[in-house]
Amino acid sequence: MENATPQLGEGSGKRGGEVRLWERGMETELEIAAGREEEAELVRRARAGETGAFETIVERYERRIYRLALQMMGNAADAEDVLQETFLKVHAKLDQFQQQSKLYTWMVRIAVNQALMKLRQRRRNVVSLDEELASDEGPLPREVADWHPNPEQQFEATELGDILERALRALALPYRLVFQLRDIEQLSTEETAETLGISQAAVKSRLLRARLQLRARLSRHFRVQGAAS
Amino acid sequence: MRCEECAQALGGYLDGELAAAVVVAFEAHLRVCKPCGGLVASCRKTIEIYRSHNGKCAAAPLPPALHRKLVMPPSERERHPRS
Repeated sequence: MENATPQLGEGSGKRGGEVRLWERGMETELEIAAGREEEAELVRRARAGETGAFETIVERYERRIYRLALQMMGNAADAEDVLQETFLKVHAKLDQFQQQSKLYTWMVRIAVNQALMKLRQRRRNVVSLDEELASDEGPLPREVADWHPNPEQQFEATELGDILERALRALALPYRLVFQLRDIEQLSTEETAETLGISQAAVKSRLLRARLQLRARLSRHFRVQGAAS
Repeated sequence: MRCEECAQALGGYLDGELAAAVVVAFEAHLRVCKPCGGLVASCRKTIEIYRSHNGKCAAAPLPPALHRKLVMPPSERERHPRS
């Protein structure tokens, strides 16, 4: 059975201003600055009407935006609509992009707004994003089964994808959105709060709940056989 | 640190937002508490596995027709409305 003790040296998180290497990869400050500079130049050229520059922006981000839209909408047709509306807005509003955030973060905000509008049209009873959800986090599970060291290797890629998608879609929308933006898209807490129009405290609370719920659902598949759930 | 305090600090730990002294206490607790250690490890794995899965899915190209619509100037789109 796998020892459940985490590898603390790898994942102790950001202390002070340190970047979380386990999460962010090994991107250096120099690379980040170069990337920002390149992006600023790309935006400048697109604003100037250079068709090739806008095409580069589309090519760079269309798949990630589509993926986000697909997870939010749950079907390809609506995701395609959201994707097209997002890039129309990006094209129309590029002059308003302040470059205080990354271009992708700004585009995610547009895409999320487009998707939410569509969801609200589709389901009038959709849970409001600023609605106060249960605030009590409750006790942590005390019976925590060991997971396989590499649970992804237990399953075929398609089967693993189904497990992950089902678990994510089972989350209530407010939790799912926060998990998508914070943990998958890697927006900051502040950016997520601004995008969804909720407080940073709500982002943190919902994120923890989302992680715990997902972990519990995945445990059914990833735990070492014979271990408690 | 006790399990209840560990629960309070879990989100901050995963996000790297705890003060250094709290991280030390948190990790000392994880070394002696198997349930909390397993919980942290599996929460972290949950995040990693979703991020990795999403990256692989987002690498798949879009249908060429959809891509062409995205790069089409808005004036052109009006002449080629969505199907």
